[in-house]
Amino acid sequence: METLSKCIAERPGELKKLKDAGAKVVGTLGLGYIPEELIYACGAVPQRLIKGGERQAVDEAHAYCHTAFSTFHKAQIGYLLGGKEPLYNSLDYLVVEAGDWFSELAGMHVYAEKRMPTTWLGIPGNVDFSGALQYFIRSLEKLRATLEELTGKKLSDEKLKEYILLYNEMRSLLRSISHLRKTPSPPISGLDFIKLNHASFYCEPHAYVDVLRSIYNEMKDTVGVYTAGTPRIAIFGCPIAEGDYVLPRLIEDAGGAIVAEELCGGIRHFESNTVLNGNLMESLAARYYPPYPRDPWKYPWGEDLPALYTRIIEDYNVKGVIWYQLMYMEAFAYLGHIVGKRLKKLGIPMMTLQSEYDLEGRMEANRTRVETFVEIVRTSGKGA
Amino acid sequence: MDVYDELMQLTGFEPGEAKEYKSTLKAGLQKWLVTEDDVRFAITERLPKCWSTNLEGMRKILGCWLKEFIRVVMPTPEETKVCHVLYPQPGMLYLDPIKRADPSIQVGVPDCLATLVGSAYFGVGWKYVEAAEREGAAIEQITCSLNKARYGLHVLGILPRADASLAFHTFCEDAALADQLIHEWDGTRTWTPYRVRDIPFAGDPFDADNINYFAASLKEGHRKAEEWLGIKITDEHRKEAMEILGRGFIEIMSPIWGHMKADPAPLNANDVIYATLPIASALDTGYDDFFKANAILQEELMQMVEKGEGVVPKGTPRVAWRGVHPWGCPWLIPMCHELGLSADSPEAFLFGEFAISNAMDAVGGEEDMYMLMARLLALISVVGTSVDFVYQSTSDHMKEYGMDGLISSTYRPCRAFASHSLMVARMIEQKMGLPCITPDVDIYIDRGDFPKERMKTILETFADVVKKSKAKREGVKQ
Repeated sequence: METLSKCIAERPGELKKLKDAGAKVVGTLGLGYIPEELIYACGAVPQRLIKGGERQAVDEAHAYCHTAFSTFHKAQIGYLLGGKEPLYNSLDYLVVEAGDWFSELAGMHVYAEKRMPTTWLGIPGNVDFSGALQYFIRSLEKLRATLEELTGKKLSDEKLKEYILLYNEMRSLLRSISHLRKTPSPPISGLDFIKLNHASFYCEPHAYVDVLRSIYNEMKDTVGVYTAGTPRIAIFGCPIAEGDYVLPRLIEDAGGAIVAEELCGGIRHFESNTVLNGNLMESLAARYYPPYPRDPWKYPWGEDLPALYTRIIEDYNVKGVIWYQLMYMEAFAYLGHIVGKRLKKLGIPMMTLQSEYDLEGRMEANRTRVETFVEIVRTSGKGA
Repeated sequence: MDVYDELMQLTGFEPGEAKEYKSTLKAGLQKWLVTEDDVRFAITERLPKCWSTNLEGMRKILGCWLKEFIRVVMPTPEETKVCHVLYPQPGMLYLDPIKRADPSIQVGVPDCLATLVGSAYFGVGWKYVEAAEREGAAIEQITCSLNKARYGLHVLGILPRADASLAFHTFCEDAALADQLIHEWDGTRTWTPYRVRDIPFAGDPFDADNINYFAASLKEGHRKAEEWLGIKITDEHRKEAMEILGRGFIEIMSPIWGHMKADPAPLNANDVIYATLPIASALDTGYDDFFKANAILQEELMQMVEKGEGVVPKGTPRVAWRGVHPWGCPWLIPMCHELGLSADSPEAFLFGEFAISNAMDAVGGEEDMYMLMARLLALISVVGTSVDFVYQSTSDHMKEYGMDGLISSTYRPCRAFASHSLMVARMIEQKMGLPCITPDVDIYIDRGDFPKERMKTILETFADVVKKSKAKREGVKQ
């Protein structure tokens, strides 16, 4: 874990070295639909824009956008236009997902102010429509052509396959580590797992996979860090950004075990790998664009999207849920309402905690709420 | 004569028609939770002060909206199935073929009616919004009141459960999101025609893949409607709908825009919206009365322009109103007039002369209805086109009308509006050197969170700046 923390801290310096050596750094903004494998294979360096948790970045954004705009995306605007964040200052190019309006509008704000070279990755929202996957494949092809032009390098199948396999391994290892949390006493804390996941956006992937492998080997046979009866909590809802760790800390300080999370684009999705089927771009598309809603901006939700959450409850033996609601990300509030109803049927308590990266300013009140919730889960016999 | 009689008089009903319609009106208003006091408010405060009810054509247009408002909750006995779309999307073009395929299907844009009539005439929109907020449309997240009202109508049981709800995502993410809540609430079947917004940042706004996908998605929406409603939509139905669109553009929109170039403008901004919007919305009650009312209005406008009459004195500084005109707060328009500003020519979105004219030019000759819609929407949506394109149509409009400033309304709950409004205002200020403000108003439902006094202070200051800026520019010219 120390290696990974160091990797995150040293990322801006690392990017500078890569740029000095001629590499192009491509920032990616969205919910995790942009394949980093493709960017690496085209000879560029991806940098997922996932930093957050700092009120100052949000305030910086208010100079450009409306206050009632997604907290996470305001932070991205603040970092991109504020000019104070070395990591964000390193970018040569921006790829923005056109699949949720916050990412789109954040991209437009940055383009309008800075004329930063930007391209979209078009992602259809009606996932059950027959032409949707084809559109996404075309979007990936356009991105590939853009990246080839940016780097001056032609994408080779060999290179792409190499990175697809590497990322498959990365996801498999993350999945295996996460599955260790299904045990009565998980060997890794929730906060550590979230940080481990976030590190995947900052570290060179070969090195990261090596670290993951050693972490997994170390953990797979170890005794867990939690005692029996510890309330098993899941965090669902809006993305938890890298650096936005107040809530996980509060839960763990209150004696809860975070055993699972579904935080949309806030973590790397690791539940499935790319299945190679001959055409690599199509294989990638099928992995990144599943035929069911993976976030609240894909329609129709039907039962598929709520089921994403209830499945986790079952798989990880979750006994209580905290819904993390960033301000002005209304899609999650609507979804939280529906998921809350499903959880009620299952007898699983859920609490919503709202944040505009201001939890620290109301720390005692939030601590009391979280402690009370964890206690409720514990005393209601819902502990492990 | 009671308040209901007065309401019908003020909204252009003929005496015989009014007598026959009164019981339907009362029952419909009751269903919409409009009380007698609300009707009194409409006839004494709202309608006479915010619209040109001195004009017969305008009264009749207000009446068309009122009848549609009642119809959506009081279907005819023959209407057994219901299909909804939502504003903002060109409901007429999309719903008319469905109505033609089977006249026993009630088609409607209920959110538009809840706001344009329920809120704007009677001030009751907050009731629908609060119902939505009680059932998951979280108040603190500050979301679109238009879509909250739509969901609230289902929660309150004001609307019948729709057999098909086809909420475009083109403009608005909240529309598709609200549909998910509506489906959860009463099982309404929904589908989302979707335009991916990977729009070119500059240059030609038409990307072939993008337009083709959207057109196919629109077609799929109709296919769903056919399946769910048990109908068959033919080329003929689509052609007839396209003809109404063309007729609306030629007979209504173009002449009104022409008249509005006069100094002084003969209509206020509220009038313009209500006179043109049915072409973008949809009328289950049909378009005949609406075209007739418009014909009367245009006769009146011609005379007014000839006589040099208007809603403000000649020479009053003019400012453009960009974005959806805030019909949720129709009092803003008379307030501007009191402060010596004419903000009567809205631009952009579904009503803007330049946005629509440019779009109509660009799609001229398109015979496939879905392609036509896809291409039109690519040019007139809020976030469906590039900021540079929006800037261009706004600045063209301002030059053409000799505008002295810009009110680029932001609307806190609409992320798209708020974002584009701020970007465009900054560009107009920087590139054209004209004063701009970006006031925060609720464009759909006035529930008091944008108080009149605060708006008055903002507009008062802006009016001073505009007048000084105009005087300075005219001084330089001389």
